[in-house]
Amino acid sequence: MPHPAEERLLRAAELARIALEPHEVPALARDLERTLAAWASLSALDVEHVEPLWSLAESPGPGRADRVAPSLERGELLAGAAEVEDGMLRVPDALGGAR
Amino acid sequence: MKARAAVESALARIEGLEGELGALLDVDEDGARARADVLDRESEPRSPLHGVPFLVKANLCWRGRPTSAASRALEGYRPPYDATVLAQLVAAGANPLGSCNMDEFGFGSSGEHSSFGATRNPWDLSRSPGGSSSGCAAAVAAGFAPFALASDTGGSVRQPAALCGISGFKPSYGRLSRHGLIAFASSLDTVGVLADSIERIEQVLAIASGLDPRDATTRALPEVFAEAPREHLRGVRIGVDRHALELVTHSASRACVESALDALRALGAELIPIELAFARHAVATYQLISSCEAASNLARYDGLRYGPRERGDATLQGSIAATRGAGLGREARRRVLLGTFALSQGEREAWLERAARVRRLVRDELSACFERIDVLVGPTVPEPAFRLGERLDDPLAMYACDALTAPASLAGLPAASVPCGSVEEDGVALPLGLQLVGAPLADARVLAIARCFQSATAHHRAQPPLCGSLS
Repeated sequence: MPHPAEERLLRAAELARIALEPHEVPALARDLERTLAAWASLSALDVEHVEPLWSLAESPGPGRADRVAPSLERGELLAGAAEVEDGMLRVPDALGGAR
Repeated sequence: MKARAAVESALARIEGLEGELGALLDVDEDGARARADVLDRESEPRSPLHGVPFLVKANLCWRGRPTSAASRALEGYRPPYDATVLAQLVAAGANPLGSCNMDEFGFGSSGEHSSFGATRNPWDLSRSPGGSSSGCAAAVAAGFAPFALASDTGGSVRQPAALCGISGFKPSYGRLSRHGLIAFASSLDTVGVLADSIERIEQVLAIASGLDPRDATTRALPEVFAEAPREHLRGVRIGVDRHALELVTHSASRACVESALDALRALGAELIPIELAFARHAVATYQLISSCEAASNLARYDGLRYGPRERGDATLQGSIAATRGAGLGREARRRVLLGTFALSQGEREAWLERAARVRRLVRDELSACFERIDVLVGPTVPEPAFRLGERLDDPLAMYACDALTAPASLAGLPAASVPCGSVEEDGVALPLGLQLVGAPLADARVLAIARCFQSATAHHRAQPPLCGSLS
C-alpha cells in the first residue's frame, strides 16, 4: 500500500501521463510534499475579495483576418515526427492493440 | 570590424573556451560565414548591428537548426520556421552564430538542469552561471558574442546576467514577440536580451520589438527609446525595497549593493525607502502559476508530432507515458507533476486560484509604488554564484533564487540587471548585479537610468580571468 504522499504523486503522474520508475517515486513524493508545504504560506493571506489575475494582456490583441493564408509545407511539418506514413503521422493503436 | 572578421574572431574564442564552459548546444559555422560574406558585400549597413554576431537560447526556434530547449523530449528537433525576434535581427544584418545551453525548458536557476550537461561560470569554473539562460550568460561573459537573445519567465535573463557580470533586460510583457519561443509559462514568458552593455540592449530592442500578428499578446507600444541618454540622475526618484536588501544576508554582497546605491545617489538620484508587503510571497506565487502553466504547455511532448518516441507497452497511452517519462528530465517532471496536482479536481481553487489572486496583489502594489518613484532598485541576486551541485537536490533552495526577480515577472514590468561590482570568495572575484524595475511599459526609462549608471561605473567592462588567456 503506497504512502499517501506517494499516492498523491502517482495520481498526478497518471494525469500528466508520465511513466515513473519505482525507485524515483519516494524522492519525487517527498519533493512534492515539501514544495506544497512551502506554497501553503499563501493561505495566510486574505484574498477572498481579490479577483484572480490570469493574464497581463489587457486586450484581445491585434488578431488577424479570418482567411486562408500560405502555410508551411506538409513535409516540413512532418519532418520532426518519429513515424510518418503516406504523408500522415503514424501513431500506436489507441484501442490497445499492438502495432 | 567586417562581418567575416567578427565571425572568425568569435569562432576562435569559442574554439578556445567552449570546452571548459559547455555554453553552446549548436554552432552554425558555415551558415555564419556565408551570411557574413553576404553582409560584407553590401554597400550600406542595415542597422547598428550589421555584421554583429549573436547567440540564441536553445528555446528560440531557428529554421533548420537543432532547437531542443535542452530537453531529450526535443532532441534532434529542427524547426521549420524562425522565431520572429530572430528573423527581425537577421533582417537587420545581425549574424546568428549558434544556440546556447539552458536549464531544460527554462526550469532552473543554475544551468544544471540541461539534458546535455551543465554550463560553467567563466568567473569560476566550479560555480554555476545561473539560469535558466545559463549558456547565453556564460557565452556573452566569455566574449563569444556581444549579445544573446534569450527568455525570462521569472528571472532567467536577469539572474544569470548578474552572476556572470553582464547586462540583462526583461522587457515589459508584450513588448517583444514570443512567436517561435518554446513555451514554458505563457502568462509570464518574455523574450529578453543579455549583452556586454545596456547600449547594446537598446540597439537590439530598437530592432526586435513591436506588434507581431503571430503573437496576440504583443502590443503597439510607444517607441522604446523616447528618452535621450542621461548624464546625471538629478530629479530621478529611486525606490529601494528594504525587504529586498534584507534578503542579501551575505555581508560583502550587501556592501557591494549599498555602494551601487551610493553611486546612484552621487549621480543625483533621490533614494526613497519602499515597503512592499506582498513581494515576499512572489516565489510561491510564481512557482505555483508557472508550474501549472508548464504542466499545460508541456502536454504537447507526447512523441507523436515531434521528438523521440518510446514504445512503452505499444498502446498509444503507454507510448505517450513512456515517451514523457524518458524525455522530460528530473526538474521538468517535478514541475509538471506539481502543476498537474495543483490543477487537479478539488485542488485548483486552493492552489492555482489563490496564487492568481495573490498575483493581483503583487502587481497592484508594485504598480502603485511607481506613483512615488521612477524606478525600483535593489540586488538582482541575494548572493554570488553558488557551486555546481550545491542545490541540485534541494528544489526549494533553487526556487528561492527567483525571490528578487519574480515580482517584476508576475507584474509584467520591465526590469534590467547591470553589473555592480564583485565580491571575493576563495580568492576569486564573483560578480553581482543591480536590478532596476520600471513602471508598466516604462522600458525606456529603465534602460536610460541603467545606461547612466553604466556610463558612470566600469563594472560592465570587467572580464573573467579565463578570457585573459586568449587576448
